[in-house]
Amino acid sequence: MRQWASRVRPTAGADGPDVEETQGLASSVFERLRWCAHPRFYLAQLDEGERGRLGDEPGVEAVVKHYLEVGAPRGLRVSALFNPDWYADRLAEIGLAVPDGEVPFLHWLRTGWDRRVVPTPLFDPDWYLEHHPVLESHPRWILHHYLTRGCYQPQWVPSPAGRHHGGAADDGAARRQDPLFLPELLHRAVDHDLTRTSWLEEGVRAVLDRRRRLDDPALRTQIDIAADLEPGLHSPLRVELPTVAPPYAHPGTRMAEAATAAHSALGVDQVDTVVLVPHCRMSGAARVAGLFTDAARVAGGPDSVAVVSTDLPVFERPSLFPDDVRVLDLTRHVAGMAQPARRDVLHDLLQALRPARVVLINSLLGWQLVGERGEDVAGFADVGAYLFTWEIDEHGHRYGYPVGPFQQGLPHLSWVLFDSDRMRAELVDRYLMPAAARDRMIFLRNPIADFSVDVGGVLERRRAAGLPVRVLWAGRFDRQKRFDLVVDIARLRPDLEICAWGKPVLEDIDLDPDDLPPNIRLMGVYDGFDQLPLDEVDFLLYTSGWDGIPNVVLEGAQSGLPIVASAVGGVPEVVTPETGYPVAEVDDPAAYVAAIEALLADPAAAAARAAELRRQVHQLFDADDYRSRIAKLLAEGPMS
Amino acid sequence: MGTPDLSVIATAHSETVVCGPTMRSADLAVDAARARGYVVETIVALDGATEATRAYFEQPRFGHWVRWEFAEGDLGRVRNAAVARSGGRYVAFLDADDLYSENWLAEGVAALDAAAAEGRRVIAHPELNVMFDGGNSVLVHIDQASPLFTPYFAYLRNYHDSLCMTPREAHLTIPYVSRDIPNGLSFQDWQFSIETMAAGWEHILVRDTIIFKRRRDTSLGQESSNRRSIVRKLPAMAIDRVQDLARLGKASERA
Repeated sequence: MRQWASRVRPTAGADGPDVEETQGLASSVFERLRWCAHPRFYLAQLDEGERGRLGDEPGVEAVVKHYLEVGAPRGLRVSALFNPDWYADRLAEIGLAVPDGEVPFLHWLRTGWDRRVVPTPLFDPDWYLEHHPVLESHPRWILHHYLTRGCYQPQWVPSPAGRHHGGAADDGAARRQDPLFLPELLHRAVDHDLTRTSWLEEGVRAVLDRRRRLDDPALRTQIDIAADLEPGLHSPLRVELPTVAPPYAHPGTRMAEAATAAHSALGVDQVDTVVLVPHCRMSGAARVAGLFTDAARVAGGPDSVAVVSTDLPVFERPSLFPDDVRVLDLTRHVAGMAQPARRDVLHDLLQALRPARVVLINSLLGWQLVGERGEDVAGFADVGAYLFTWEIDEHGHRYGYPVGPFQQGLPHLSWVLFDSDRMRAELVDRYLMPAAARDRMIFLRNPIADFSVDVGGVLERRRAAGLPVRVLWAGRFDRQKRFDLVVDIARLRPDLEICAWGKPVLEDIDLDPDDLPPNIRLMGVYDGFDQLPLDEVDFLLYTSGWDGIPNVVLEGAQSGLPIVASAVGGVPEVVTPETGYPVAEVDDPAAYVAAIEALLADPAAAAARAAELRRQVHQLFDADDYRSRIAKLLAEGPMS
Repeated sequence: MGTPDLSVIATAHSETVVCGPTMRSADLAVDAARARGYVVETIVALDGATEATRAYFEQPRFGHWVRWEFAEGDLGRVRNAAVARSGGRYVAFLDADDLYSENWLAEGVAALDAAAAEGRRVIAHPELNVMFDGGNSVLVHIDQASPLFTPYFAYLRNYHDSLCMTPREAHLTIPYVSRDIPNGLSFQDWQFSIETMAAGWEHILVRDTIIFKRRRDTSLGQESSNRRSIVRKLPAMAIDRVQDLARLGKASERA
């Protein structure tokens, strides 16, 4: 294919002294190509298989390579700012044409660029300079500025037809080379041949045509007659007058279509309960979302519940949710939309579903909606929420849903569920809640997982046999989980053999597997706690810096594992000196070592504590009780 | 005068001198239509008019306009009442502070006649809105046949300007609703636009014609927001029906 790229070089002389070639193009031409490439626009023209081979975010280099090898011969567009028909018309105006067999875009890069031919209706260089005089000192052709900066920053208006997008900034736009107008360009893509034009380009052309119409003598005559009658009608045709052609220029059009498409994709006209989740991946909140959804579905029957995933297009663990509950990935309908458009699409979707209640389970978009338009939502549905824990930043400051979102949303929340009584009490106290608010704050233990394991006696047998002390650690390798403490503990006690299960999810720490102590073994991801080799370990180590009631602790407890755990959040509601080995100095590796040594010093006592813990969680964290309380809450409200 | 081809109905409530350019533009447009051979009746509909407004329109200068007084207190209702009393095959409203282009009435009647000859049920609008006074801008309308037309936009704004030329039948079968009482708002034009499209009327643009709109700043954002919530409740805008709104040929298919 490199040969093909070379074959389309007959006009390469326009690049003058360039001798260096990249993928068959003179280096200066290749550089222009890189400026122009818009990966997501290019991907939109590929079929699913081709997109899959390129990956979700292939980057500019891979897209340019693919374009030169595959896209150019097929007439695909790699740049949203190159319109082949527009280019042909502009060339014709100067007596030129793209030679037969040559790719118009490459012709423009080699020839049209040097002749300052603007190949898109989306950019008007005279307008651009007139309205951004600071750019008069721009050292290159002014289109270069729009290509490399203007189309990624909201303040640069490129045309009398406007800025072509909703006006919101996107910090990652330049890095991804996603022009801010890309959502408008891809709007109603199925109705357009994207290799030639788009909704946006047609809309802009309509505006430009209408502007040209204003120069029509017949219309000018009509305006002059009216202006004679009404002096206020002065100079209505000044070039700087904004000219709009709805609906293409109105972001609300996309929003309305997105809400309708999402409703259609869900495949159900109306539901009683909508559960809003951020995504579904390895997290305790995802499990709770599944538990709540199951309980609501049991209470309301089939098709009474829908799950809407709002923040990330990730749904890795669908098995957490009942098979017959519909799940909607809203993110694919709001891709590229800035706020508040995404919030409003969610609002419109919910309004269309006419639910009796909307339940927030860690959905950021849901909390934004309730915080900012809570009165609207509460006008057609009860709003409930789950709160699990604070988050803590690297400076030790608390943030997260229990702070701003909760404060903003509280007036509109019918009830809030807490799986930790401590968390509930802390919020009630912190915010000095009056009784009317306090009564809507409900402590409800999440049920333990549906498996039956009892490793009671394993610790004593392993210690009696003199086997190496094997420690189980399981969770996300994220900052919250404090894997750094595990490393320190491993170094303090090289005799421990620590088996660490899980994976990074948030990727907010640097974890170098090659730089771990030899007594830490990374075991990989696991699918269900009961699938772990629980009868081959001595105890569970838990090191989180903050948390609610962590699932892994509950699952260890219900399995009969002795537990050494940081006494954070709701953990002390489960792991007490009577049931395990809580560590109060949660940042101190030596404190964990001391607790481990206490556990190992008396295996019989440790086993007794574990047995007691197992008994308690089986009694208190009961699935049937959870379902009946959810059913009662949904039927009768928080005062039931 | 035989059966009028067109009834021009200017509505006024509290306007006075601002109507000067309006009525002059209307006179020019009426003269142009008559010059094309159309029979035009001219009506000023005074709805709960202030003394000043009534006195203004009692000037001999407006002697060639019939003046009808109403006490509807509502733009939609006064329009409905005026339509009922008027006799034209077509009806063209004019708000007392806007201006017609001189050719609007003549070209509008011609467009409606041409459409009727083709068996199409059509409501006509000017090609352009030129806004003045409170900000100068040009609004380009999109007609239903345009590839840019999307019914979803009707959730957000009235697709068509309130100024239209309409076969009498459309007004009689789809009268304007009265104000949105709880919000004290009027969105009759928007609802009329949606309901006529849903009933199979095609809204077209008449080339070379203009409405000059006097734009005064009001709390349009809030009004618009409230109106949007009302529009959503129209049956034609239901989330499972909106995609069919104004699909050309749809109504005849249903029929």
